[in-house]
Amino acid sequence: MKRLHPISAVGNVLNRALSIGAFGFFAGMILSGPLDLVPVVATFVLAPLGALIGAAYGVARYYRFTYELSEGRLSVDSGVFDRQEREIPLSRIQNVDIERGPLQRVLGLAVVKFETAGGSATEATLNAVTVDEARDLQSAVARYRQREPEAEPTEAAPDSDESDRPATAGDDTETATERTIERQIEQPTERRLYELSTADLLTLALVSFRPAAPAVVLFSVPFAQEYALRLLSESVATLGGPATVSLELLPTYSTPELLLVGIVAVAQFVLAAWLLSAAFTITEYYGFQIDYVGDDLRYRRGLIQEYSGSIPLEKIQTVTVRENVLMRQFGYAALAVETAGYAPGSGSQDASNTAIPLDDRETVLALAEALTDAETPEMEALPKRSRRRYAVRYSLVALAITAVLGIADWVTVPIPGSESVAVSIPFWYAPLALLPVAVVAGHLTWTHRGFAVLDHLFATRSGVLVQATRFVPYYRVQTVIDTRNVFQRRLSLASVTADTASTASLLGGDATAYDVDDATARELHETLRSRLMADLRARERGDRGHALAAYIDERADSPPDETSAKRQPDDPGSRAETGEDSPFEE
Amino acid sequence: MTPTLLLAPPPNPDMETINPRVQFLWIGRAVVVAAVLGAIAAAVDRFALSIGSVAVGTLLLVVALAGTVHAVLRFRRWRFEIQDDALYLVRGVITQVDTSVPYVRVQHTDTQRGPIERLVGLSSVVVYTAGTRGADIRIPGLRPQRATELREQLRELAAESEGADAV
Repeated sequence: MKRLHPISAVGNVLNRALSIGAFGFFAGMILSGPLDLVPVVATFVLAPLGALIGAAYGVARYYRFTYELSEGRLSVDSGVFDRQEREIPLSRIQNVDIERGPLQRVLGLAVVKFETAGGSATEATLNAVTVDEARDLQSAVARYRQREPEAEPTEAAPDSDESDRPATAGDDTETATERTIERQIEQPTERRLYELSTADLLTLALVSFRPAAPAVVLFSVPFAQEYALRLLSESVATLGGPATVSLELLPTYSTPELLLVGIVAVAQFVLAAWLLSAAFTITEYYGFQIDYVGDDLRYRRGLIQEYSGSIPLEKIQTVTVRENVLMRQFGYAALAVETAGYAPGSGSQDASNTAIPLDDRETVLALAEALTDAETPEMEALPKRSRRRYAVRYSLVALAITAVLGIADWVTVPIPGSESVAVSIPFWYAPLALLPVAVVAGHLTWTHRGFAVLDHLFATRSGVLVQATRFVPYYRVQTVIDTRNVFQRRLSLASVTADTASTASLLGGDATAYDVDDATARELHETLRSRLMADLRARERGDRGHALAAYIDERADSPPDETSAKRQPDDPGSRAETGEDSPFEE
Repeated sequence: MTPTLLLAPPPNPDMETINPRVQFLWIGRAVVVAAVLGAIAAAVDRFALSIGSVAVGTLLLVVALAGTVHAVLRFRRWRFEIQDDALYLVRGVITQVDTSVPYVRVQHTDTQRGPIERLVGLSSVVVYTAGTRGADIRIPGLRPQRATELREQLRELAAESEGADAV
């Protein structure tokens, strides 16, 4: 069993000592001060005592935390009072992520996180190990997966005498296992799949909006009040407004002056939020790249905090291409790769699970095609009566608002014990002007929805403001769900959802073909079911796509002739032996 | 809205139905909901706005009645079938839902009996998948021995069709 890096222990010990020491200090202060239960001296006893206990706890934690990667398992033992022994089969690990904060980068450390399907929290976090160890762990998991199909028998046979031994023999078994792996796989292929260019990073920074940015600006205003006010006064003065701006002077301004100050203040706020948002985006996505290593996608990004991680191709559930209105206008798109573990590449501060945050449409679609082994689909349009349905639905919303306002205008509210109050709402019928908008919105909803049934893939599209095109490989379908509500049945329409284990659908990202013809829906339901079974059987025979190999070859500028497109030319031996477990190879 | 839309015939008469006693369960639930709503309305009537006891009574009655009709219709629509490669379920009154759960995707199955279910002598089978939307699918209103039988049957079907990675 291995321990974490000692430096992490130092950090942990200091942290605990400080927090429990501080607790002791404040407890002493309160007990001696307002409560007057103990003399003041107690504070000077309690604080160091707390620090000592904290430090001891930190040390104990460090010594209790051990991990080991062997025999196809990651074992983690932890906890001082509440002891926990956790074993994660390597074949169940969905992603391995490596995070490095600024301090950790200086010290050459890294935090490693292992994600499995099921459960919202990270299954195992190693905080922290050396960078080399982190990389080793990552590639060990990847290597294990490559030989996974025959893993159980080969592992059991030569190591059977060793695997019976107690845990002290752990290191031996590990090296033995690794030797077996080395023999099978010589060197994993490593190719650059994607790189975010500086121009694209800047574009992304300018167009992406982060809700955190205005919040930060708002909270920092009180701290930078003087500076903010000076900036405001100077800009207002140059625009011909009052010479100085302050809260006390506000009542003395004339209306146009007040208006000017207001507009300038809002503009400056928006500008500050925008710049901050851009800065956040740049630090987050700086140096974003995706490599193809062995059978994993490896991503890396981050300026200050560095994130990197591996997504096994084998574990990809769905791929989503997203385009918002602005991006569509300028031919940009974003790509998200989703596994059952979580959506990799998204920091906790960013809920949008982005794999490629932004690039031109062609690049994004080419990578999506390579990852899913499918052509970009021609979407089938919905029946015309669906459009009518949307128009009616949105019109009803407008009518409902009008009705509510109208009734509020009309009724008098009886209040017991006093006079009735009549509310008068001027222009309560104004929402009726939304009716034409509702019709247009209905049309847009209709044109933006669609679905496609491809060879190995079900694709759906929906969303007007943010259009999402989802690619679901048939063999990833979990359940097929048709829904028909009363209104849909009236028009003989139905919605068909292909449910997957992808975490993206937790955020409302179901792959659903909305409002298709009833007969089409039944056919689609059957198709999804039968294709799921057919593709699962095909995969058991080892019949998988090879689009990614072709894509890599194309990027490497080698002429994509038939041999190179179908076979990786540089390591034919190892591929032939072990390549069968990648979905995207021959 | 024509009544046929709500009384749409079940798609396949050969499919298995659930036990009629489940209607008592659902009607009972509707009555409880109606009673709670009625109590709230009565409290509002008493302490805030005067709605009138007639209105409160009507509300109680309408909710209970609607719940009863819904329960009956729901029972009539509920069908399931053990097909070749998937469990197929048809249900829903206002929104009709047809679900296919391929056996390959079944993670595990449960039989569950709540206290009220036990009172009526019924049991449910719950089928779990790794999906995010249809992660647990419940077949209510089964006689206990049928529930156990079904659970075992589903377990065997799932084991037979087991793939390499259920996720």
